[in-house]
Amino acid sequence: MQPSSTASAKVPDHVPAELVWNHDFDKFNMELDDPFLAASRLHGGPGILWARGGLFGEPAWLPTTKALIEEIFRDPEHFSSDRGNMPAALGVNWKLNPLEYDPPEHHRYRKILNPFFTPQAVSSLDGAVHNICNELIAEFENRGGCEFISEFAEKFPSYVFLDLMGMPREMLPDFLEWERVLMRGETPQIRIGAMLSVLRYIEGFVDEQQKNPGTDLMKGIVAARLDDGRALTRDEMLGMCYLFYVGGLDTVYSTLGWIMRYLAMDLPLQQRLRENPGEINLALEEFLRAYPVARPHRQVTKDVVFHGVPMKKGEMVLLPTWMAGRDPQAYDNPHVIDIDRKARNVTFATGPHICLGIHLAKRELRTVMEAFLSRFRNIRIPPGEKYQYHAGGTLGVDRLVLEWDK
Amino acid sequence: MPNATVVNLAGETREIEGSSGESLMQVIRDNGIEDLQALCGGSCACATCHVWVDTAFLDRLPAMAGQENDMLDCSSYRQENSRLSCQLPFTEALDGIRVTVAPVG
Repeated sequence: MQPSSTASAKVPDHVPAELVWNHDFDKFNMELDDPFLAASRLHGGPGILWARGGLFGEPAWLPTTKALIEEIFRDPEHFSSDRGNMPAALGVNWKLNPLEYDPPEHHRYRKILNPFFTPQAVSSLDGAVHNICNELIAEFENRGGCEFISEFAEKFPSYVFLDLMGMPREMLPDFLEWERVLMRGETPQIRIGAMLSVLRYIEGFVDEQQKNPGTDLMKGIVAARLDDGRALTRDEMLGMCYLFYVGGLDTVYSTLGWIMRYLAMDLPLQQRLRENPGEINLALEEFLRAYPVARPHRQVTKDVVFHGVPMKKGEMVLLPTWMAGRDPQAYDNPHVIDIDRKARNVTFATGPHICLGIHLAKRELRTVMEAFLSRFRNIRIPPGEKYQYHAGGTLGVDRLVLEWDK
Repeated sequence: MPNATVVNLAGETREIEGSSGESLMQVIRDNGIEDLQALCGGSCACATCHVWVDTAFLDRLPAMAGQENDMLDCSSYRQENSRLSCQLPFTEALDGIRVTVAPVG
């Protein structure tokens, strides 16, 4: 493994020397056999660091406490979501919609989508989510085990996504392949190539949906009118559909991997949840607290001194939600899973950009926990099997072999 | 300091006190009433600080902005007296107000 320290870029004059951290955050998170513990080595140090390798190898501010991450999420005046990444990476003219818009423009788009992601709207997807889960489990149910990531975790949110969008299920192999390359492609060019493949498909999909929308969600998007009475442009729709892809697949898949890995190491908790399925919600909230997988970022909108730290307009700020979830100032024994903790988390962000899909994601995760716990006993990692993971914009499990008794 | 009465999801009533200038949401949260989730922290983006307001107090509240109205439209528990507590500044004029935490859904 390459060391995480790096020393190429010059430190700007306004950055206080004691905050300079000469490491690449993604590599640093790969240094132990658990990225959450690896990242947590920064707790107890400065509340905000200047990471030489922050975002795609470039410098970025790195807040390390839940309180600071929460405050930045809630302060779009100083910390913008409009970072211009999509145009730069993909050569397109649109933004992830509404993710890369700031208030008040943000709400114009968000309000179109909100009705399709309320708890009630998500309930109507319940049957589909259950069916997908059961179909996938049926493939390995009688085998006594599975490789959880490739046989379940990758496929499950992809199927939910295809159903939600009204895309044909035959697209699954393509989507899985694009997803694999996107996350594990060897070079940035190869990974961007996969993004472009997804994008080309979504472009064709949007063109067809504008004429003949399939699902409630797509009908809502095509029929939507902004306050001035106009319909969404093709670019605005592309930004939305691409966001559903970015937001709903990698995050759910990653979270599933961490949850199932933990459950496989805690047989007493499995038994407790099997006997008290009503507590699965408590367990889910605690898993979300302890295993946040996303690392959004913001751009500083104007020169500002934030908690004593001088930041310049245009600089990037990382918001690793796992730094918040494992912050010892926010949680006692942060690395211990305690489902009676009943603590709040910022895993789905907070502020204006709080995750649109929060209720759907929780529904998906809960369904999987219920299905595995009710069917299988003593879910465990076979002796000698070692799990694999990656760090980066998300923390995800790459390989997790499980076995169980029926 | 103004007072408020808050009814939680279980129907239990609590008298709370808060300082003028905060939002009603902050006052309720600061008093440890966890049923009011307020997940977005006051950005009018999640509708999880939804309360039903004692109708006697409705006309003392600031008018509802479009965004609050949009967010309340997403709740299946919206009533005539529904408001998002993050949008209500807690002032002396609201002393004695009674609100009920509405379920999320």
